[in-house]
Amino acid sequence: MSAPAIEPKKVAFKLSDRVVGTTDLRRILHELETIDDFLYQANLRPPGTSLPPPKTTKLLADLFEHNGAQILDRRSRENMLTVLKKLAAKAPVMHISFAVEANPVFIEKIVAWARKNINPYVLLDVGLQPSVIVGCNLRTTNKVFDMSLRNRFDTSKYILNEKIEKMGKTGDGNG
Amino acid sequence: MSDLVSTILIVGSLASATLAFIWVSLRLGGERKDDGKDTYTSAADAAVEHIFNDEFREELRNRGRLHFEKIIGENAMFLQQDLRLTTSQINEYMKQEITKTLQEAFKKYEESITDAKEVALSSIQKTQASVEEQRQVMEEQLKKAIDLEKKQLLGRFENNMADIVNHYVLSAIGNEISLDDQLEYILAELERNKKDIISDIESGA
Repeated sequence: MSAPAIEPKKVAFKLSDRVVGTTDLRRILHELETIDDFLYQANLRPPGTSLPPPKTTKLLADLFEHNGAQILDRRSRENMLTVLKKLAAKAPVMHISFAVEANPVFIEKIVAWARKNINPYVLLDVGLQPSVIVGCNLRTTNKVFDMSLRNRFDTSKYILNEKIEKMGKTGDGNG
Repeated sequence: MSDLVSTILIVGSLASATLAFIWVSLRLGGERKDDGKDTYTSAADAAVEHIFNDEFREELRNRGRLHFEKIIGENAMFLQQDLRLTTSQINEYMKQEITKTLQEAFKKYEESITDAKEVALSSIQKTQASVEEQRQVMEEQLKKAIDLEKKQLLGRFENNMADIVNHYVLSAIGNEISLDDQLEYILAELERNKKDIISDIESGA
């Protein structure tokens, strides 16, 4: 029996799947503030004055691209800053742990699923937990979801017990 | 026996001869009366000397010796026969006595062996009963211990079943399972817990 499908909310601002957790969000927020400061200072300086441009990552460019905004447009930057600050303060955060370090593509798929099914602005802090071995461990605000294979076996052990009991009875009958 | 008769006859003849001689001499002496008394005596002595001369005496001695030797031989033979008879009787008696003693000893020995056998059998039966009893007790104890061990093992197995199965699954798949391979499983698990996750996020936000 499958759970009733939850319709994804339609949102004006779309958070890129590459922005995974709070670290990424803070980083792009910091980059955006740096760029904003740089452009502001560049406007104040006389023309022809050299000013080293700030280093940015592809994340910020993707974010603007996904939302159809221009990074050079001051209003767009202000809106983006406001949204990002709001997200940094209020976006739901989940901690997900795997046995080994996950590659970006894999994380992106998990994030895409979470933003599609849980919350469009959910942030995933990825961690390591070798004891998980297979599966993952998800921690939300108040709960911990053990999605490891061990837990799956533990919850399904009655099936194995039944099988073993059947085998034992069959063995006793034969013996 | 004939020798004895002949000896008696000889001795008898000698005695009768002597008596006859004495009677003759006395008769002759009586006829002469007083004057010829010494002459008769000397004549008797001479006649005696004449009859019992050395040869006759030697002959008598030889006969006596032979007779004595014969008697001695016969007696020795009789004695030997008696001795043999006695020996055989003693042997027989000894045989009987020894047989009797041996039979008694054997009987006693047999009785003691029988007693010892009974005691040994009784002891063996007691030991056997004791061993059987101990075996049954040990069997019960062993059965209880095995059942307990089995229950403990089963309990431990059931309690740690997830870890055990997980361990065997991991041993089987080794390090070949990557996160990409786990994606489907993880997404399925997320989907399974989606409702709870949403509920917690909405309530905790």
